[in-house]
Amino acid sequence: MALIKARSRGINLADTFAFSGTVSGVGGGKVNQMIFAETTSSMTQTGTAYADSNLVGSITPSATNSKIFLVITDHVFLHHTNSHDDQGAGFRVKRTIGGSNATLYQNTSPYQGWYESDRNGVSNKHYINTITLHYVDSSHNTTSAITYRHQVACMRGNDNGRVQSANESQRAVMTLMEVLA
Amino acid sequence: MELKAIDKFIMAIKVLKPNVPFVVRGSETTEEAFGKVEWETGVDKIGSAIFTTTCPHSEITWTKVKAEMDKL
Repeated sequence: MALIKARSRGINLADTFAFSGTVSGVGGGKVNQMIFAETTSSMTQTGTAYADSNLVGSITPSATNSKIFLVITDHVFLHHTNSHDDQGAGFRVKRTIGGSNATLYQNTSPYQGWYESDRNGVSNKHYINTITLHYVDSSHNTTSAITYRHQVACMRGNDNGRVQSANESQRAVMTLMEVLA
Repeated sequence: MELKAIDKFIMAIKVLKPNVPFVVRGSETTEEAFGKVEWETGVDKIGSAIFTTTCPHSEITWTKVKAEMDKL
């Protein structure tokens, strides 16, 4: 019969316990750390490829199997010219670990994040809106620093078409939370 | 809505070369800011734009951009 060294009724729960080994079966779902990043520095993209905005956040996980919960909110400006009847923007999250880049959530086409259509032929229309992205990164598999960056793409850069992140120096923010397994 | 300086800055570049893809950071519109414009030269393996701050377009210079801005 295995020797039972301690039972719950034999432990003073008011005491402080400093474990030097590994405790399993506890702590799952705990928010181990939270990082908040923000920028008021605008970034304007006139091209259709994804480009780094100025919103970036970094976190160093304590475990390879933890999950990183990511939330982004950005104040975005869209300029619709009269050359086309529509305009749009795409958004995505780029993850960097040790210099290696990967794409997490991504709009497949640079209009699926935000799309405006106007067939009235009015030129140079401006739109401003707040967009939000959520993502759970469970594939990082590292305890090295991870950098997440918000990227934007413009559907139509013709004429003066463009998309702007952190428009007019309004805050773009990112929250990262490490959730333990 | 009245055009802001940054609007004129971007529009001026597009007048000189329509459809040119580039990124502007911040809202400065000085010659120094022109020197920091990121001109797209391609994309990497995950589809992120690749840039250079050395303007590869001979038809776009700060002098010409300033002149176009003044017309707007």
